[in-house]
Amino acid sequence: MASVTIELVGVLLDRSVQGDASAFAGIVRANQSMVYSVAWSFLRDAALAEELAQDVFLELHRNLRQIESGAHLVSWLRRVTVNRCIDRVRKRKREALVALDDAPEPSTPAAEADPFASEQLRRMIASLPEKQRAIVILRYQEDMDPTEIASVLSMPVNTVKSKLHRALALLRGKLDRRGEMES
Amino acid sequence: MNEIEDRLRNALQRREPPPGFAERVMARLPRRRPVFVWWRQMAAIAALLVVTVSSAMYERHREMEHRRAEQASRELMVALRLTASKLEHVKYRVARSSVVVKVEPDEVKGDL
Repeated sequence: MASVTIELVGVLLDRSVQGDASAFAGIVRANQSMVYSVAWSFLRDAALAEELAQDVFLELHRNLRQIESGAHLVSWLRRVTVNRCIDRVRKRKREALVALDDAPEPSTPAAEADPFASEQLRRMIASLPEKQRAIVILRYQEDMDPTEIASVLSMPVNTVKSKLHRALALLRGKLDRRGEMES
Repeated sequence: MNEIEDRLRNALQRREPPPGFAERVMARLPRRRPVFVWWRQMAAIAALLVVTVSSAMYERHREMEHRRAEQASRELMVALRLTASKLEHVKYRVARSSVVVKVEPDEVKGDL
């Protein structure tokens, strides 16, 4: 997120703490794409992603006074979104209600060079263990470096690096096998 | 590694939530008054309490002063009445004793 946007979020945060509802709506609009995208990439279900994203913003509203700055707010949103996603996936695994491969398509798909290949890759990402999935999404969707990811996920930087390395190797292996099968 | 990283970036592009997302979030917010209004109301109630208690205390103080003044006035009246009575008594005694002590001057000369 650009520094100008973070500054704007900081101004909106000050006004929201004073009880300005329109300022809080501004915070939601400035961050909804990030929160929803992380949730969607994690859950691969538009309805679940929206519900989770709404819950994250409601939790933010309850904790506004604990947020110190615009940058802190963005980092807080990422951390809470990822943690809620991990909890949701674990709960879903226990309940075994929805299989990942049966997840519906997104409501607003982005324009892609090769939609089929991207969809295959997203399915592979969704099959990764939760922590690895979170690291891959934060690294390649949110463009965060391993130090920032370590801070969001509360884990050592070296653990983030090793998990990322393992996840990439796993994904590359799957892609190679799929390529061999198709050829 | 670069190729797979590029493919991941492409596959994990951000997407917008369905239209009206922010409005739906705002609709779920609890309907409560802003904190500063609550503080202002508490301050007004506190100020009202201070004024009420102070005026009640002042009124009580004034009433006690009034009672004390009345008591003092009554005591003064009693004291004056007592004094007047004592003076009457002394006056009577003085009048009586002057009758008893009255001596004829000729009698005194004769004695000498």
